[in-house]
Amino acid sequence: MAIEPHDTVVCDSRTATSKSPVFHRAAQMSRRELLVWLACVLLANQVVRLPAAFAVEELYAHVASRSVFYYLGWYAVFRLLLDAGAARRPATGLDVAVAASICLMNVLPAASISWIGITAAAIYVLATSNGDGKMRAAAAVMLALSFNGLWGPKLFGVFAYYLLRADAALVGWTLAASQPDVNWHETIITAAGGHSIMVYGPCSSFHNISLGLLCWVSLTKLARSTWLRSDLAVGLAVCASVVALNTVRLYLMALSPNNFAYWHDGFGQHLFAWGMMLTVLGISLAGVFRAGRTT
Amino acid sequence: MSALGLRLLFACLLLATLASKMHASYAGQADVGAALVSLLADKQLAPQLDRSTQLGASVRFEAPGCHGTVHVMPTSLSLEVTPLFSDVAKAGYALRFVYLDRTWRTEERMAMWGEWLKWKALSLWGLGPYVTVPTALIVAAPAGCRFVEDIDWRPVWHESRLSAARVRN
Repeated sequence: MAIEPHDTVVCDSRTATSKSPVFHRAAQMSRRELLVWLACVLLANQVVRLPAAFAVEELYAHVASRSVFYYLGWYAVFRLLLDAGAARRPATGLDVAVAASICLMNVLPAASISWIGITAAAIYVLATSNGDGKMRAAAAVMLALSFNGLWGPKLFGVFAYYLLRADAALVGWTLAASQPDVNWHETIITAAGGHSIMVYGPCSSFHNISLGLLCWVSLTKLARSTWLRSDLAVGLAVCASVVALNTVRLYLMALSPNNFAYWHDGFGQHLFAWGMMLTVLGISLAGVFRAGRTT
Repeated sequence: MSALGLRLLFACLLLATLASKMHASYAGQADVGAALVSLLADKQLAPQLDRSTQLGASVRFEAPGCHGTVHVMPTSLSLEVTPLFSDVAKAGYALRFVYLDRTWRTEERMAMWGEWLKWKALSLWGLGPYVTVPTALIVAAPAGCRFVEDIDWRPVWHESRLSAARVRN
């Protein structure tokens, strides 16, 4: 059997017998290349939006609207797939059939199809990783991407009202401990002077948790393939920091109309976004480096 | 299959994906509010946009035989605006929550999401007449307004009406 360099494996009649099931016959492409092609199609389906009249500004705006953690996640997926040892084996017919099916799904018009495709790809990679740590790590990052893109928002949508009430209660309790004449009812918080705010979905603490978790999973899996017990503590710290920062922001917005204008519509919203991003990044990196020193 | 054949296959799938995005960019977002206005206009009800409530833009009209203005508000399926219902559900008014082919007298979030899930699953196979946008309608009408009870709201989510609303916008 002739072995060519890099990713192409020649399979002759001695290795693919006529009795082998079609799905188990080796294709002349490595799993790694096949999975990279699949990842390219899935990423293109999400990032590329060919705008009307091919306006470059619209395309740029669409690409720039994604969080940096989203691109970090995709970088982690490609990096891990390219490094996975088990992925150097030839792709089977089943691998080709599954990858092609997922790619074909992407031409369906529903916006959520691409995320369902990523979830399906992650489950397949996990199921066929044969214990390869980097393949499992790539699958974990894909699951984190799909949770951030689809499943998290859908879950939030179903339980939004109850989560928003929890947010309002947290902010209301914090305000009441530090300010006079504060009360809250369901998702409306009223401070002294009659200034009221209502907590909507985009302002919820829980809205950014899935993005924080995506950053944490991506950095952790890039550093090492295995999970450690301490990773759970780091993940919880990421969640807690997101909730705490958002609560502080809502607290400040509830103080007065001027504060609301600054933190909701003014420069404060950018400060908050950057602060949250750097905090999540810092906690995730601290977790990675701390585990690296102790293992 | 040879490596070259597989590469050509996936290159074609990548191009097909990009081509489908080109089509999708012209489709625009489903506008339930515009579809609602067109449905009411078809029934000769002279709908008018009303931005005076805290619930955001709503559509109001005078219904025959009803003592008061009827308000219809498109809102997210999560019904986050529940605390603001008192702004429209004044004394003597009754609220209805409408989504696709069902109507509820109280906020039934889980039931509404169940309907979304059912029709979404069917739509993935090309079944069902609805575009499953997660936008419901809150209908605030004077108590005893039979005319509103008899309105069939289902066409608001029909593919044809939402497409026509998109084109007009």
